[in-house]
Amino acid sequence: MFRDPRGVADDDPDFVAARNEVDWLRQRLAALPPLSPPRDLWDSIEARVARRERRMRAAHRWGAAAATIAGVALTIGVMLQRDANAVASIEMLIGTSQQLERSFGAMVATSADSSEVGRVLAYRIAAVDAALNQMSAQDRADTAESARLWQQRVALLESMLDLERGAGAPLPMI
Amino acid sequence: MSQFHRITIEVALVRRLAAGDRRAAHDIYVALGGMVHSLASRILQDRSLADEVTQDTFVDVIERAGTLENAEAFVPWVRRIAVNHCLGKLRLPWWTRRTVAVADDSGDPRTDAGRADGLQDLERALASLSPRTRFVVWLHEVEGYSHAEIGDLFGRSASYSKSQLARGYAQLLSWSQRATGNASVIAGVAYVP
Repeated sequence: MFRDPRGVADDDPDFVAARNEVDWLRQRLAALPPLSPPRDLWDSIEARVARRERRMRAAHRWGAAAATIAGVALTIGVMLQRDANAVASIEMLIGTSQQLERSFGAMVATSADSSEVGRVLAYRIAAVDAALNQMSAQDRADTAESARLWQQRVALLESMLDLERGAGAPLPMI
Repeated sequence: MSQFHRITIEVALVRRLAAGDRRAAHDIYVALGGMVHSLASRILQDRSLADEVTQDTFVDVIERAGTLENAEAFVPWVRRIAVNHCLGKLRLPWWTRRTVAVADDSGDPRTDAGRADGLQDLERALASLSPRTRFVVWLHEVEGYSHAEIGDLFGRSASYSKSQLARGYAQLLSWSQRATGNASVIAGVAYVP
């Protein structure tokens, strides 16, 4: 059993002897000679570092390539998505345009607006139709331009409807 | 006293290492490689594992030198990496089982041819300790770690380090007693610095 060290004084011969033994042991441990690593250990370390650096570089290259591929895929995806959105948007615009035309057709059957604004609107709609026909004839698939033309057509038709309703709509800014 | 305390590495050399200078890495290995290997050899009592620890340590030192904020604390930093690698080996279950078996077969000091200075007895006594006890004895007595620092390494309190150290003293001095024929008083007194 160990005695409580708090009660041990420097004049206790057992304590002093134990301390001397520990000091002796400590000096002996510190005096143990150094042990040299094998001569070729540095070569192994250098080779390992070089291997890891090569792997890191390869990983970076693959990472960069993967990032490029991912970027391209993302861009294509975004473009496709944009196209898909644009196509969906055009279809919606065409539907709106057809609905407005039906509404407008029903209205002109009962009233005949022959104002200057009405003629300008009709002229502009005709111009938009001509541009859409031209795109179709040239087999161009410019969805952005197509969407822009259909938006114009819808806006012009809405203005014409407003005019027929007597709202006195101004010419749309297109 | 730890060999590590006797070495000073110039800050400029550390900065070159951090900048990826392989020649600086070699110079640092020449200065510190022996100390790292001695530390690992004494703690693990296995030359091939000490080789591994030395390799792992210097690979880390070379790769992580750029992250060292205080270049003046380079040597303690290298020692800490080496100690952590030793601790990692110590935690391997197969290694613990193996060293216990080796310690059981550590022989009788009186039959050793022995060196004149008796240090071979001490080497064998050290090898006869359990890995954890040896780890604590070496870190505290030679490397100058505090009990709190050692306790932290094991995720334990300072008391754990103290109890391991007391056990280590008792075993080492008992070995010394058997080797020299002088009675040790250490086993009867709680003297843990």
